[in-house]
Amino acid sequence: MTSSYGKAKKVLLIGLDGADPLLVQRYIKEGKLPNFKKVLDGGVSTNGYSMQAVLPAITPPNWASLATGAFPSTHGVSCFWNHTLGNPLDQLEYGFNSDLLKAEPIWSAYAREGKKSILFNYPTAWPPTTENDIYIDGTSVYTNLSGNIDYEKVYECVEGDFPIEEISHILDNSGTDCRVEGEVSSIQATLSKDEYENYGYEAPELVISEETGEAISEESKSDKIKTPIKDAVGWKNTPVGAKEVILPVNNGGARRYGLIVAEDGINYNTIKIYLNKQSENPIGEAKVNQWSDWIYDTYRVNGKNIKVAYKIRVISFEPDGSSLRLYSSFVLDLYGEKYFFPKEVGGEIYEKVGPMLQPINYDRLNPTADQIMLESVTEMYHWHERAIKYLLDNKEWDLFYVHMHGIDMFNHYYLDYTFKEASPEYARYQELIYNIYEVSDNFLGEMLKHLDEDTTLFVVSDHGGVGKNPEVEIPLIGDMWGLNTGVMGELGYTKVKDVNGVPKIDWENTTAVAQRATFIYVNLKGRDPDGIVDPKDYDKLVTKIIDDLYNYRDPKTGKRVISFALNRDDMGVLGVGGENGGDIFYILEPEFTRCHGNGLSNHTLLGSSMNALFAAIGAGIKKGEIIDRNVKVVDIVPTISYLSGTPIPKNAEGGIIYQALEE
Amino acid sequence: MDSELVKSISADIFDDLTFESIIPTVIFFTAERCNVCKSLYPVIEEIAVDYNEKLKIFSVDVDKNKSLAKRFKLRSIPTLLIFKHGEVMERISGFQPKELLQIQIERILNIV
Repeated sequence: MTSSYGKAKKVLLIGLDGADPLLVQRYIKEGKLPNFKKVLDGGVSTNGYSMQAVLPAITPPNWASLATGAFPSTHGVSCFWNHTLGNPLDQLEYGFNSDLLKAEPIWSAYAREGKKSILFNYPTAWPPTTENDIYIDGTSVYTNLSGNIDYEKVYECVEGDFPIEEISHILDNSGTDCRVEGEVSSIQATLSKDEYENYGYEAPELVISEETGEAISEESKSDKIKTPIKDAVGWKNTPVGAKEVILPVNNGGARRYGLIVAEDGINYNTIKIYLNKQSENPIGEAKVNQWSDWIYDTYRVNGKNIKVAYKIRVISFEPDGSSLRLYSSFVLDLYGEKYFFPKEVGGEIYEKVGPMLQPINYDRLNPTADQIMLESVTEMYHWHERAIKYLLDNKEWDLFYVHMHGIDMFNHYYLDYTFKEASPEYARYQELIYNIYEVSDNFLGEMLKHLDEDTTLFVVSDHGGVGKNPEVEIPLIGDMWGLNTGVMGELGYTKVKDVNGVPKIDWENTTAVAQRATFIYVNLKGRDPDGIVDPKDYDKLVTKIIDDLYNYRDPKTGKRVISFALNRDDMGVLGVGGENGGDIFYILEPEFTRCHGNGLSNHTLLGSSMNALFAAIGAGIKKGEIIDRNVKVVDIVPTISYLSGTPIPKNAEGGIIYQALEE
Repeated sequence: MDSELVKSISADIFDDLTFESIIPTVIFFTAERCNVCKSLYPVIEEIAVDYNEKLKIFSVDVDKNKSLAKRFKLRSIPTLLIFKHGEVMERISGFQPKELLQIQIERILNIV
């Protein structure tokens, strides 16, 4: 036992989803990221600052391993979506769910000792499983996404006399009896109908192309409203020359009134929002290229008046007042207590540090929208800094876990365009990637303020991310958003049939399917509801599929696509599989991988990597050392347990990182 | 479905007759092809008579006013929207017996 045992009275784990150690290294070499540098100078990391992620290198399984110290085969969270054997092969369960977690998380081990934890937006922590801890959401990539009660909107305000038009972000007229229109069922369906009923993800369906896969979850969208600008008439106080515009709000069920004014008497530059034309004062205002302050309002929802908050931002403004493009944010329910535990803590945080701005998603890949995105994400990080400070200063805690998703989002949104061959604006996209690391570095700086001599701080990520190789087309296998037809169709295992114009799996003739990022499931009789493969043919079929995967060549380049493929027994050595695992686990060659998840966590491609990030600083940790050992995601929990003198969680499989500890 | 009791209206005057109306308004979203709407129509007419002084009822044909159906995110017809104080106070979808509609309308009328 070293002198560092039990030295950490408090531990902070700062989780930066998608942070790539290779980029951290590069930026530090360029003299950037002072706070990351501070951690490295004053603490420990590994060669290349990297850590080995568990497979697949995807968000929920890795945060579950960072919470339990166990591999996915043990903790049971196997991808972004889970599958439970025995359910139909196209039935998947959302991975951000503590009910799926079969291994004991570190906060439960802490609770056994009467110690307290705060879990902030931590994947696989929600719903709460301990009584005396504080849980802030954890149901989605961003905090509070489920706490919004009206979708983000873009108002196209144009001079004229025409009826208001509003197109919802979701086109869903799948209701029964008389449909409003005959042709559409549910497309763009991100409005979940299950318990995460607000703005979570809807269960994925068939992936028949890149566009019908994970791309659905990243699609930019908003409610779009076209509304006329007219001369201001009937207002209590109207400046000379003012114009007016009506702004539908609250899912179209109410309206607010915008007064468009020219502050210098010549150039229109300000929009003021009023409850009605007779109101004395506006509830908010925004100027050219600016955000408003928080607008506090009351919406009627399901027969109740709900106190809400939102912001607006002017996207563009014609100085003659003839047109105005206005963004209005997701609307936060200030009494929304559903995803806080204890539930009062939500309202308490909003009261003490203000409402949280949800990052925008109305548009992307143009300078204006990307700038507004960066502004909104930056503000979200600042809110987290204040909210975390409030909790750490005012609540009892011994362990604090936070998960921030900005870097991963920017990886998915922009990494593909950071190459000369992929976009003429590649330099701007490279800058955007740097910007989110800078935002994260500032966040880390704020977290470091909570470090004292009795506290240890870990900075970790779950995986990195790589941009799409502009030279190749990614083969359709391994898209995590459901069942992939593509390669397994070409190889003759997965059959698709047309049902009223909609492609569906032809289960009667399908022997195996590629499901989610890395698994293939045999359609097995007696196990899968539509199973056709006789169990006696199982081993032979698995061997044949593995042979075919190795022999599969990318049609364009002639290169092998599959790096390796393992059967159900063999995948166990990688910590993959378990009772609900697939029949085959495979990994793609680096140049054919998606952003992350299909590759090994040590894969690099075109300047970025899939590696996870590791650094630690504070009580019990050596100072300014690069340690000579491999660190795995599963090693973090046992190390925290050792440093804090708490029991190692029951199912942990990783080891204590002794080399990082003071002797 | 257009009658003296329940006039059919279109998008150009919709806002003035609903959000801007001083007295509460019920909008009956319907279509000629919708049989459930046809069953509900006499009930709506009766309610128009019963509440003559207290509220106004109009119908909107969603096939002729697709933009209004989209704007209010209608999933199905018939749908009733009850407007009061410049906002939608209640949304009622599908066939409802008169007694149930009366209860909901009374509740909205009683909100100060």
